[in-house]
Amino acid sequence: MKLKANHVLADYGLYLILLVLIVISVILSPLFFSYNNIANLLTQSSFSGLLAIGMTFVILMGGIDLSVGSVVGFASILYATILHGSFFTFMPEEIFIYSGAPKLTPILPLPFDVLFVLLVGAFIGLISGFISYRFRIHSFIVTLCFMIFIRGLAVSYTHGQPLFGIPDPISFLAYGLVAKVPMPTIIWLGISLLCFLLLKFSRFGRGIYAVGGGEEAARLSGLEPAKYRIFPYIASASLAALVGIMMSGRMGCGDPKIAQGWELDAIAAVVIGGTSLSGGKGSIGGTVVGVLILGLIINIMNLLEIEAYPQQMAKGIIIVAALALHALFSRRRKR
Amino acid sequence: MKKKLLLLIGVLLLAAALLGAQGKKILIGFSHVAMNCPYYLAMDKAAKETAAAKGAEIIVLNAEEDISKQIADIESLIVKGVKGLIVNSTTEYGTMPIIKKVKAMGIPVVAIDRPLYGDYLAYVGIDQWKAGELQGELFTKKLLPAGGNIVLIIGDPGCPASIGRGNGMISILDRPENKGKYKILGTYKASYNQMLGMQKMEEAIAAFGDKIDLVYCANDSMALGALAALQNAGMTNVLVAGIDGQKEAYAEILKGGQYKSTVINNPTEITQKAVSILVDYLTKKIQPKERNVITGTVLITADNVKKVYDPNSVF
Repeated sequence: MKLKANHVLADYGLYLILLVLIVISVILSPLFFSYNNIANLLTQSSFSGLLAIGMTFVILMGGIDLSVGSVVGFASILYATILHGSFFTFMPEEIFIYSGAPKLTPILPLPFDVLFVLLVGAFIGLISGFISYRFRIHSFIVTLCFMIFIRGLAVSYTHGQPLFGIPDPISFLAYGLVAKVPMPTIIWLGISLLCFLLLKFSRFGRGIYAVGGGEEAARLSGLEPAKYRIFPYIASASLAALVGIMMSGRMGCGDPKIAQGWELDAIAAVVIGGTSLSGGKGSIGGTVVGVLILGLIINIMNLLEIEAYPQQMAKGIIIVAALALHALFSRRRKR
Repeated sequence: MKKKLLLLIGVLLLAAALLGAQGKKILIGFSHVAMNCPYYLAMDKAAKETAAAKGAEIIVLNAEEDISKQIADIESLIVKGVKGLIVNSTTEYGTMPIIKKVKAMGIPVVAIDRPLYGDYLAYVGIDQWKAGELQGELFTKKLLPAGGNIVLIIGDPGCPASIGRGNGMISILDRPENKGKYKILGTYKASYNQMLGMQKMEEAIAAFGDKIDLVYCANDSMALGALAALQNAGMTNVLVAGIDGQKEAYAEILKGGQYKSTVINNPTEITQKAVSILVDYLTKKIQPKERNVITGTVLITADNVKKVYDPNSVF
């Protein structure tokens, strides 16, 4: 009987933590269960949720991707510059003088501009994944360099200036409602479901677990590691590019300075979700719950009017506590 | 164990009851850009004091200079049920979609300190562009009439205050009679922070050395930092100018040293006005007389600094 209880804790401990947090939130604030608040919580979680999906793939492979926050900023400003009729807007002093709403002469029609930005994102991921794989440099270092480089590129692109004027379909991606469900949440959960299916039921998904768990063994059993090693970075960077486009819609402009530090939130969510940093173990479902736990903590502290810096302290403590609890549950199971 | 649990639940319920039992005062929200310098802290203080004096309740949220956090902050304020909103927007355009949503819910918005793009009840603050122009006029007519090299330290690229203050000044340098006489050696970003202002000035000194004639900073905190860097390097001939009218800057101008000028932008005054306008509109239906309420914007040099300097003021 006791053994069974431990099993339940190990398998569903994470969901239990989420449930406990929800109950606490309901008790602490009567506003928590209002439609507006739940919609906020889901919308705000969706952006880091999308980044966390890509991060799950990367961490399953035993890597880490620190560049996603910068890619979000770069995609946001790249998308806006395309809308303003140029791929390239290094403007030394003139851009600083820019003011007022510029006129729009996009170089690519609507679905293609989004596609182009996603492709650029994928390309960034391809390069960082390839460098990490080919030269055997740990992705921590490679993506750290990419994080610095891409943020620098994004900010110099328009001298830090946000570019204004985002078309309605893109705003819809950020603010739209379908059957009262926020559009970002639909995108986040939709892509999560796809990736869940990919990991769980496809040959490719099982390959990711195998290579992440041990490359040599996987190679001996006939898997080509390069494919599995590089794909996660492509997924991670293209999802970051998607988030950049959606954030542009949310702000009504492209802004190269957004999403600083979001990579850390994504990593925290993935780890809370039970994915092992040494690779080969974890799931998308766990990541979704991890994102919700993180979002919930911030949400309830906002409702309780706790100020920004004490919030950070509480966030740090709660993440460690959640991880410790989770580790405790899983260790019990092993015994 | 059970007792402890019961006790815990009891405490939580009590806390919830206390939170729910707050009075029937009108609730307003203030989405603030950051709280990392005396100027912003003075605004925070003034907002809370003025709201209390006006019999309103206020929630101040700090966006930490992150536009996406600011959007999330405003969404939280809506959930809290604020009846009116004061926004110090991180970027001029970034809050536009959410302000539209707020407006559609019938919540009036007062923009403060930084201009806002979109539909607002009133903007309270200085004329950012004119503040830059005043400094530009001073540079070209009095400080460096024969021309010279200028280092620009801005707060935050993309922030309307930095754009106005920087470009207002540049627009004077670009006038036909001044064409070719002045050169911007470099533009640095220091987040309106004194420490960073000093650090960026050190970089500028390393890069340009004796070529620098004047440093123009988008606020006084950064200018004070730059001043410290110049003094450490023994460069006492380089002129310094800032904006905001921080009392430490007044003290430097009063000394008659290399710190030459600033422009009045009183955080306490603009915040008091903004809160009053919003609360009066909500409780007494008083429509603000003008959409752009311009305060301060007066150039302060050694000639008139005595009139405004008060060593005991908050800011």
